[in-house]
Amino acid sequence: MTPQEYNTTVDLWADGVYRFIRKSLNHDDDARDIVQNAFEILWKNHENVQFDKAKSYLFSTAYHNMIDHLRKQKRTDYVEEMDEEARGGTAEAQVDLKEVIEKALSRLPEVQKNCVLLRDYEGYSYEEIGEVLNLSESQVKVYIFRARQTMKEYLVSIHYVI
Amino acid sequence: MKITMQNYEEWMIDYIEGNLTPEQEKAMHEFLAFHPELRAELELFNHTRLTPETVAFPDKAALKHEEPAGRVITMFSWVRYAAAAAAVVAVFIGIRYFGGEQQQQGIQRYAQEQYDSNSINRNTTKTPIIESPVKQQQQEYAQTTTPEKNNIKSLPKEEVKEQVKREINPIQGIDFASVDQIKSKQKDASLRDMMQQEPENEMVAMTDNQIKTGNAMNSTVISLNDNSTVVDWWVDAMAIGNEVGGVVNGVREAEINPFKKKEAGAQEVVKTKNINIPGFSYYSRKKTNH
Repeated sequence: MTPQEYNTTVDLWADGVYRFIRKSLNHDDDARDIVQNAFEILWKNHENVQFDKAKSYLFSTAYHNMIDHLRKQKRTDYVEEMDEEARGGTAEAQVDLKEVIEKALSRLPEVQKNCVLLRDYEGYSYEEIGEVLNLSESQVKVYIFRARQTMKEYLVSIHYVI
Repeated sequence: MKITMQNYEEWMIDYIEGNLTPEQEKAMHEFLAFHPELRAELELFNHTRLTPETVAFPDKAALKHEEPAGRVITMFSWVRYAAAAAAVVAVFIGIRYFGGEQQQQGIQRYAQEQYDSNSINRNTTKTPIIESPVKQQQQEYAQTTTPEKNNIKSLPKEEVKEQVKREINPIQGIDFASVDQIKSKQKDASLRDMMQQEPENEMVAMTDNQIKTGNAMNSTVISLNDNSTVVDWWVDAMAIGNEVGGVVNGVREAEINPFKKKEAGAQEVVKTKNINIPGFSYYSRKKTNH
């Protein structure tokens, strides 16, 4: 990949990868650092990465950065998550669909959440998601199936009325 | 797999994921027609699809890297190579052009000399039209003239000459000395015929540049110097265009190839020597109209 192509990659995919990480992580500043780090890695290797593989490489790198980031911050996140869940459990009459869906998404296991994010946000195929997340195509399909089932159950559990 | 109360959730997810075939979608709609209470569930599954938010990375410019100046250098070097190539081409063209001019001068001088020698030695009225002689002329000239007069150095290879002979002059190799003998005998014969007043159509080659057709009672003399009377030039004669010289002899086809049977009713064909390039004898063909 040439420097020109690298800069094109920034133009094309920086927003998308930032949206994915930000949504998955639920933290703007951390997401920004992770994306920036992913682009630094891409730049270091730009001569070895083909332009048509750049998007997949970028999402994959950012994803792994995020996993590392989450491992380091696991304890803190766990506490916050518990807190969040406690609050979510009490609020039964949420009417804003968007908020409800956000809530449902945030309750998913990381891998399921990321599968759904890549699927719905980026329009990735099962195969492409598998490339980014290091999963097989059938694993991706199963995770997405479970994620949608869990989210639907959540909507039912809070008595969400359409 | 058929859609049932046990597996309909899977079907619904496949449906919103866009994994179903048109037939499967139809089956699912039929299933829902029987179980309308499940429509709400499909609606909930539909809500699990996230609507992408419009998010922009705050500082894209910071992610970018300057494109190295190597590109510009590449362009310069490209121009330099192009200029070098153009210079080489120009030199070649120059050599060819000026060399060609020199050669042309030599050829013109030779043409004049050739014309003079023809006039003197043969004492004929032939007017060679040599505007742009081919290389074979140069070779012939080199062989037949004194070296100090000859400045032409680029001579064609012998095999090229042979090939040209084969390809464009298939009747090369005919002994025209014997043809001339036949012709003179024929001339005597025709005179005898004229004396006998034999009214048979025939064509007689007369002088170098004329052919007499018709019978003794009603004959026509065709000047072969006049191209308008030559109706069917050989393709090769046309192909070399300006190299075609004056017509010098008219020869009947039967004289050239005595073994060829004349087809009944066929037009008489006279081959005429009409390309005057030393070392080569090209012949055009004239059809006579009876």
